[in-house]
Amino acid sequence: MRKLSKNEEGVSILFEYILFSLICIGFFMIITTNSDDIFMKTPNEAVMQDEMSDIGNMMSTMITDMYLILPENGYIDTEYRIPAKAGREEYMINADIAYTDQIIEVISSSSGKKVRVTIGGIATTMPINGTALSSSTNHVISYDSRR
Amino acid sequence: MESMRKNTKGQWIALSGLVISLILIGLAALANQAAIAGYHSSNAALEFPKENIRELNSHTRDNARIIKDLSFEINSTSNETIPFIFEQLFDNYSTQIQNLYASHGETADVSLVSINSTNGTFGIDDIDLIFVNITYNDGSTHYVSQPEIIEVR
Repeated sequence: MRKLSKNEEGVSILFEYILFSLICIGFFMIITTNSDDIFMKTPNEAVMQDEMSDIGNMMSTMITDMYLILPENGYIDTEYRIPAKAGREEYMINADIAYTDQIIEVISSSSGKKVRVTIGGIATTMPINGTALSSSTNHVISYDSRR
Repeated sequence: MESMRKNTKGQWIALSGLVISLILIGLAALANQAAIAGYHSSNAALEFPKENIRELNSHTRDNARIIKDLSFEINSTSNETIPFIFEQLFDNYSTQIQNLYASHGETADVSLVSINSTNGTFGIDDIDLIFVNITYNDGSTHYVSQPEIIEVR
């Protein structure tokens, strides 16, 4: 008997054709049923996670920077620009829970995805509140010592 | 020598080619994701004019002290009163600040509100607080401090 690894005689061409067809059909069935998950949702998740934590960090940086230069008597306001969509979804920046939890949330309302960023304890000395929608045209952070 | 078409002794080379191409595809996907990560957060740290505003503030504080000392020096050789000299020097400073900030596209303004002294006279040890209005605007950030209270004693 020849060794199995040296034996180069395989199945007949017809049988091989049937085998290959079945494998390919099975493979493509799996791919088509999962294509939206594999090609759209997973990359979208990754991009959204990246962008939302990026924007959360941006807010945290800006608020900390503003906190450092606040005037004792007076006001400061700054406009900022954010992309209207993270991945394929609009999102909202929510600072209303900052006072209790020391965090800023970036939430996508359509998928419920949520990224939280800390603001380093600033909110214990200064109340921070407000929400901002990514789709609105103007975004402003402002502080007024007289309010 | 066998012809190229019939030579089948290249399995490992062909397989390693496939593996390398898969690795490259994976790396390209990773690199694409890395390129968009962290743009906005670093941009906010760079664009927000924190240092400009702090500098404007600390310059004004420093200069108020210098102007106070200078006005006493000038007063010893002239007939003008100290508040009058102080106002003139501060106006000079204000004009210079406006020009300096205008040259990099920002609007800054410092204007004197009042010179305060504890007992109403303007001796060298009496002037203690200077009230100054500071405004700064670079198009997206608007800062107003009115008044900024500067201790000059």
